[in-house]
Amino acid sequence: MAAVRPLLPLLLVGLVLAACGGHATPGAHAKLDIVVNAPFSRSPYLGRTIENGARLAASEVNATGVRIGGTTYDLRVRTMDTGLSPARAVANVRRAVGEHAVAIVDEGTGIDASWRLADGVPICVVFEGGDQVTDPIARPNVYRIAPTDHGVAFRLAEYLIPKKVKVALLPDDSGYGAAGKQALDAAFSANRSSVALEETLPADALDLGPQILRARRAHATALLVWGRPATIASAITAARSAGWNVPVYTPPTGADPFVRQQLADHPSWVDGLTFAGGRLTAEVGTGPFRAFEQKYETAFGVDNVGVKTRSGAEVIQLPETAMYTYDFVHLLAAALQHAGSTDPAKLNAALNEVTTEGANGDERAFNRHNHDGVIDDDVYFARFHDMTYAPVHDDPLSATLPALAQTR
Amino acid sequence: MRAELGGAARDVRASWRPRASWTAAAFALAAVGPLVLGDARTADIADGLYLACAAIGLAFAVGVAGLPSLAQGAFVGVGAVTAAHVLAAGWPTAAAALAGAVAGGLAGALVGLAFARLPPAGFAAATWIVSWLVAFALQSITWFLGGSQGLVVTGGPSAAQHYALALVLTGLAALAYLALARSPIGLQLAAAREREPAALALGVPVLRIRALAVAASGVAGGVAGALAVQLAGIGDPSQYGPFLSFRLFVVVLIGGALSPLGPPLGVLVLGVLSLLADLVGRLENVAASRAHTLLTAVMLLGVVSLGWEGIVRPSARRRRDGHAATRPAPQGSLTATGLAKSFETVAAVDDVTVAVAPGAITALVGPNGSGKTTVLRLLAGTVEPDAGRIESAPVARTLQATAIFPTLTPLEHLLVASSARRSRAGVLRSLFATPQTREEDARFTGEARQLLERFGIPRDVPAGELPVSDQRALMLACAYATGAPVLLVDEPSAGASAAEATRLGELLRTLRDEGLAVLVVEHNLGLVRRLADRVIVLDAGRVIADGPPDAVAADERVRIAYLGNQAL
Repeated sequence: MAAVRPLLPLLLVGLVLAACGGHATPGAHAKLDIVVNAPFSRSPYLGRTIENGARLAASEVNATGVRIGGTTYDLRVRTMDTGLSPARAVANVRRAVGEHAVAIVDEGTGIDASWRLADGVPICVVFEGGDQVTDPIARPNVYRIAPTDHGVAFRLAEYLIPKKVKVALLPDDSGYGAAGKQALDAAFSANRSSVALEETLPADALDLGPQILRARRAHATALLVWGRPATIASAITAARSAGWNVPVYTPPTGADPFVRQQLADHPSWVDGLTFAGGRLTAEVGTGPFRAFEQKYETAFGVDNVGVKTRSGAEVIQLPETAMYTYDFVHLLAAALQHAGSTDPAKLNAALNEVTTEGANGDERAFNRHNHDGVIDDDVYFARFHDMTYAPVHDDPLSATLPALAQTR
Repeated sequence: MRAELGGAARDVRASWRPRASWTAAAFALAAVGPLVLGDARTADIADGLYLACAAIGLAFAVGVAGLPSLAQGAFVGVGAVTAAHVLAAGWPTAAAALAGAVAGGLAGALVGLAFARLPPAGFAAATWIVSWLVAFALQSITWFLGGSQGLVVTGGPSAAQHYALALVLTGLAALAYLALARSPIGLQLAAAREREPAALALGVPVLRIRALAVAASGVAGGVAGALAVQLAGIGDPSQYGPFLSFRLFVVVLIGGALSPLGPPLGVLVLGVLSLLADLVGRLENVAASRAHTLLTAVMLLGVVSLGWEGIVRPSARRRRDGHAATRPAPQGSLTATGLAKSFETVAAVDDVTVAVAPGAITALVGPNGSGKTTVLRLLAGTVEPDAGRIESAPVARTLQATAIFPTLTPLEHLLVASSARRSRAGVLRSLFATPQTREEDARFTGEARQLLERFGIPRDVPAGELPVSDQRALMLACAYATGAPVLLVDEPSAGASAAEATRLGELLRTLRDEGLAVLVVEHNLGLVRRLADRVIVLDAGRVIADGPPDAVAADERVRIAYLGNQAL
């Protein structure tokens, strides 16, 4: 203790200087918080990619800052875990608003209740595609940049029905699956003869053998599994292990790394899996998306899927959802600048006015009549082969899209 | 009215303790919370208070009734579902809270009636299964709470209003706990918790009051769930799973189940530790939800393995004495004719006739296995005879072993024993402490005090700390306090010293002299000779002699079958 005593004044001086330094760094800006409300504990990849997109955009915005009424602000990203629980998601939104967050980037769980408690603070959903998520009149503070269930389901129906297949519609009983079931029912309502069977799968079930067997006995010639990644992996496992090489179609969750990780021991089972998603590239080509991908990888490294191609190349995940978050944060920064205020009413008005260039080179914007940033016509189809996917050739939109490299 | 209020105020003053002052101060301090907290923090604390309310209900079942219920989370869920649908139908918050309380109470009553007869481990396992079943139902049947996306609950009070509501509700739940724990029902539950057979022997309706205790915990859980779901703005089935039951149980164990202050403190401790878990979880990159589960499990392990009895221990209980009206000694007799009872192929009792007259002590003696205890059980009504007829005034029976309730005071023993004679001690009257109830309570307390003085038993020490002779005397006093005119006393002097046997003999003689009909099963023949007015001798399930002690002692069959070289 005696040896330490002479150091105490130095320590004290150091502490005081450190404390002063916190306030006096030249160029430091006031902060505006953006809260990412996502299932970090239950869907880690999804949570992380949403967060990374927001952080990347915030770092770009902060290079100059957001100028509001003579003050320059930096955007600060904070995270809150929903654990896929609607109640926790709602409580997080309440807390975010209480702590004066300027906007919330949300996976979508609990949005039906949370938007009411947000006191008008803008919430942008970047995953859930349910029909009622956005409504510019009833929910003026809710936006979405993600393919809608309606768009995905109708595009799948439009794609499958002309092929004369008999589809087994297999939504799971998660919230995501329930919303998908609603969309599928509407999409296939005019062509019920194309549907061999409709059955709800238990989410997270390890063995879906009985359900898949029923689909087979119903003479289905294609499976449309609408559920969380675990459900999709289980459904494919059940079909393939029974020797049934039926084509499998899914919504965007089919591209989740989890599906391939689960099927890593049987790469051939993944071959032919076709999913519908929002297109990553625009008419301007692959350049803008490639540039975004490069920035993403520089900031956070590549997102390895954890599987390899047959030639041994490492497969990476393209930052699709991160792109949506990234676009929203840029839109938000533009809106803050445009509104000249963080007041939610003014900010929402500005969000209906501003336009930015999205990560894929497309324009991103909302307006007073539409709060969906991805239009239904932007839904494309991609098919897996050798653990990577490429746009299909038998769909007019998809056939025009380039394949993006997914190996390193 | 004024006098009644004055009486109530006097009672409150008499039972006021420094702990009550601290609690009131903390309550007043907490009331200004919303003024200094933001909306989100206010909502968080309101949610914690609703949790505390549910935990107080659980503490009543665990601490007072000794029922380790793991279904409290299910009751909270039932209340939440009910309230969500009542609100959706356009009813106001108060109606939803009431409906939630009723639904939670009904669920509790059903669980209580179904499982309260099980031993504690069985009860815990059964209620744990109930928790799972309710969770499965809530998650699978979307009508209940909208499935995994939840059911949106709109309207209702603001966060600050919820805070005030939750604070008041928690206070009311604590007061209700105190009122019920001190009531005859609470004492009966405590007695059944400590020694069920002895409680049954005193006429305590164990199953019924245990079901009532679980129902009460269900009411607290239901109303907490009903209000918490409005605060959350969404009914989320994943919130009412077994983990909530588990968490509430840990809260009760940490805070202490024997005081209503324990659960709120348990919630506070768990809340603070959850914040620390968040911090550690962030450092170690563990998701908050997993860190909380881990923490709760570790705490349960610690609480159970260290034998922790909770932060808050129960305070000493004071009771207001009243003037006991002189109770005329109850009069009645017992006559049983032709009693028979077989167990499989063994005839334990065969054609036994017993008559116990008022103001007399009848001794039932015989060698081991002669059927004495079986006869006693037949007369007490705990075993149905195969044949024969019993005509009797109400009976009270003492058990062979020293069967007292160790943590209850002698005064409380007598209040348990006399509770069947009370007419104003129902749940609602006890909850609201009506003037009649308080008057009756004081009267019975006075009567019990007098009886303890007569029997020479100290009144306010835990009965487990009394000498054995006092414990035996207490058993007799309890039997007397039931008000039954016929006492069935099973081996009162077993294991007692000569001095103790003499004391018990004196007490029995006093009871006889008051006019009670006393039947004693006894091996101490000296005591029988000094005490009994009449002796019945059993051998191999049959009566072989019946008459005054001297005549029985001279009976040759008795000498051969039982006495041998002994003298009666």
